[in-house]
Amino acid sequence: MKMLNSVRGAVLFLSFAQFFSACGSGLGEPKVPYYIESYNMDGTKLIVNGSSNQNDPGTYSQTQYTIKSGQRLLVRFENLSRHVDSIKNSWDNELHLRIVPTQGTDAGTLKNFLKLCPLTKNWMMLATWYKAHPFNKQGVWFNPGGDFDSGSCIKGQVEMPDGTNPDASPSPSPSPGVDGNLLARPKPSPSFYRHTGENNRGGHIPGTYSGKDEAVIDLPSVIFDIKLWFQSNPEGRSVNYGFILISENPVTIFGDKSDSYSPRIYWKKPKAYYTIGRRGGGGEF
Amino acid sequence: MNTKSLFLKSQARKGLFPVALIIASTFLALIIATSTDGWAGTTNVGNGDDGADLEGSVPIDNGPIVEARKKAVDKLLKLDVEGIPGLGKLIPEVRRTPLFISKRDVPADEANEGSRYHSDMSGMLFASTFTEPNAPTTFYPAAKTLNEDQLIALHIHEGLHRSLPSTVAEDENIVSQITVAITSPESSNDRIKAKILKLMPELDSPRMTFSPADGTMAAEKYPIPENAKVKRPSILGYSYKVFNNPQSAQDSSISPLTSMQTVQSFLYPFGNDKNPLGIGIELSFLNRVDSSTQMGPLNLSGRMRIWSSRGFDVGAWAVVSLNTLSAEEMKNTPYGRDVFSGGLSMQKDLQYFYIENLLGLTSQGTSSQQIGTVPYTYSYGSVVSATVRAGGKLGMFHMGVFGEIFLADYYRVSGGAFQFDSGRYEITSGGPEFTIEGNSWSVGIYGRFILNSTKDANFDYLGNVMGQGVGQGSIGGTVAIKL
Repeated sequence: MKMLNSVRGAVLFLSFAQFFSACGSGLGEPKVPYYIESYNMDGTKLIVNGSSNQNDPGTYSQTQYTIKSGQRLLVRFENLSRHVDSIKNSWDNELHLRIVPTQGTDAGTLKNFLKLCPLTKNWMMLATWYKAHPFNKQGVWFNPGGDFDSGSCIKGQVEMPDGTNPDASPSPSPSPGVDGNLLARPKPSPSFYRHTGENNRGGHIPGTYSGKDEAVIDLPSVIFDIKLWFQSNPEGRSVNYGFILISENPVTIFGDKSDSYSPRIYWKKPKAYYTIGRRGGGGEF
Repeated sequence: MNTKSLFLKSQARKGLFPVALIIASTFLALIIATSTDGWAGTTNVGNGDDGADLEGSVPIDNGPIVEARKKAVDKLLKLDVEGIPGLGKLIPEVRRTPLFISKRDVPADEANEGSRYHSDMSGMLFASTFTEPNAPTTFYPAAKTLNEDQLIALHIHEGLHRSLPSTVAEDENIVSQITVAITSPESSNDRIKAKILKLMPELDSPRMTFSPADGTMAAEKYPIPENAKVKRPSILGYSYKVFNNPQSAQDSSISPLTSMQTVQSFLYPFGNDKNPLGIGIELSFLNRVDSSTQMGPLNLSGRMRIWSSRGFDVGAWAVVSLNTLSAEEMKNTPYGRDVFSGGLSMQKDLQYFYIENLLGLTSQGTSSQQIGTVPYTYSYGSVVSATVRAGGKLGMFHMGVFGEIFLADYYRVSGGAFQFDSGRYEITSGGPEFTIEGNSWSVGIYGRFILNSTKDANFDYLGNVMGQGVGQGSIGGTVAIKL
């Protein structure tokens, strides 16, 4: 009996220790309060002015794409609707899209030339410069090259491998997770990661306080804040038409077939939410 | 003479007594002898009425005559004479005819002129009947001298008078020879059939119609032309079809197929000349936009001419288009599905004109296509189709047009965040067809074009490569050998 009470006491102590650790004020190595949920933009299709070949193998599943005048890239996370609740309850209320430059295009150039515009017509992988889909006349783009909301086009921000933003103002903002304010819109937080799977399963990658995730891509990238688009479309209207990447000057980015640097959407999922949300879960708190 | 010797031979094999042989020989001799008396031309025998009052006749329901009738029916069933042209009604006639026995014998010379009586050597009658269906059969006391085999032969003989086509029912010579062919110990279905066709070659004529329902033959009012396809439905052919798949900016098809080649073998080994039942196999080879060629679906089909009335042929058909044997590239397209179709065809083939209506139903189904990492599912609703083909024939040249309407439940595409649903739609298409028909070959060209459709539907919506093809239509040609 005495021994049983001792075990109960130890378990209780460890539970409290874990709780305080998760809150950033525990003992020893701090534990992060969120996972990074990241997904490949699996719907990625290059559309080229002058080409009506809807199933051109060179327009999808590529390791890289060149975007320029007369050549645009449609991107979409096809199964975003399954994650709407998860994103709504994200840890920092943020949702980002990452694009990684390659082939001589640096992140600064990419940031300056590339703009991300929300599409206004549903499309599929048979889309061309002229058609969003080939099934009837409703599938024709009203404007060849894609129908998008030009007023909602956004530019990205550069993130360096160490998680810093060279263009950001020096005034630091409180580190999320430290103050525990889930409703705050904190600074663009370091959220580098490496997704090593061939498939598009989301990665539950724990972040750290070091300003650097445990899995880090080693290239500068450009990230786009798409939270507003999410609130207006997938969350507000249950539509997910995705985006079109436009650049009048040639830029080259990693494609959807790239393992680590593919265009990705990601957000931070709080561990508490994740744990409670899982039926029968009893993991970290 | 031959019939008599055959009969004697058969009786001898059975080891009957000489008396029986004499009686049987006498019986058959009388039958054959009366057959040459020129009785043809009369329609009624006996005293001119239904026969029930012949010489004080009374019905019989037991005894050797009734037992012999049962055995006669058994024998006819065993020989399966129902399927023999002209004998389709023989069994019912033997089985159902009312049997009477006369109170006294009647001499043959008492019969009305033109009557048909079968008498013994003393001139006394064995039995009489009328050459009309369901007429009664009257036996006379002289028949009591006949043994069972002879009574069986007598039942069959009288039944033949009532069941054969009217053109021969009164020909005693023919009826007697058929009786011997049936009652002979060596008789078989084939031998009886051969005898029938030898005695009545017109039964094998295309101008006669054989009704499987009642087994009767009759002069065909609407004869099938000699050059009708039903005469030689089996073919071995090759066809080449080029699809119209516009890939312009405004008008396009999702099909990666440019053309299709098929090797067809339709063989009709079953049924008969009028109701052929055949099975077809069709291998397809598909040519893609990248100039590659790959295996396409395999078609298995069954067709049968099931009915003909007033010159219209009604047939049934069923086709299964299996994608199982297709190349992997083909399976990963919107057309990679199995298609099941069936329906009815109504056709009238005249000497200078033909018209055919087809009603069909195609099953619903789905196919999958993976583009990049996004899997798409194509769902096809069931399709009701109606086709009309009509044209003229001038010698070897057949020229016509066809029109067809397809009514479909839906065409849906879904994958990832994309969804497309056409709802119910209709496609109207048509085109010309021109063939040159030789005796043992045919060459033809045809075209199929969409004339109108709702919701911008095209043949891609139907998802039936081997049927209607793909895209906006096709043109093609066929070469076939008739087997």
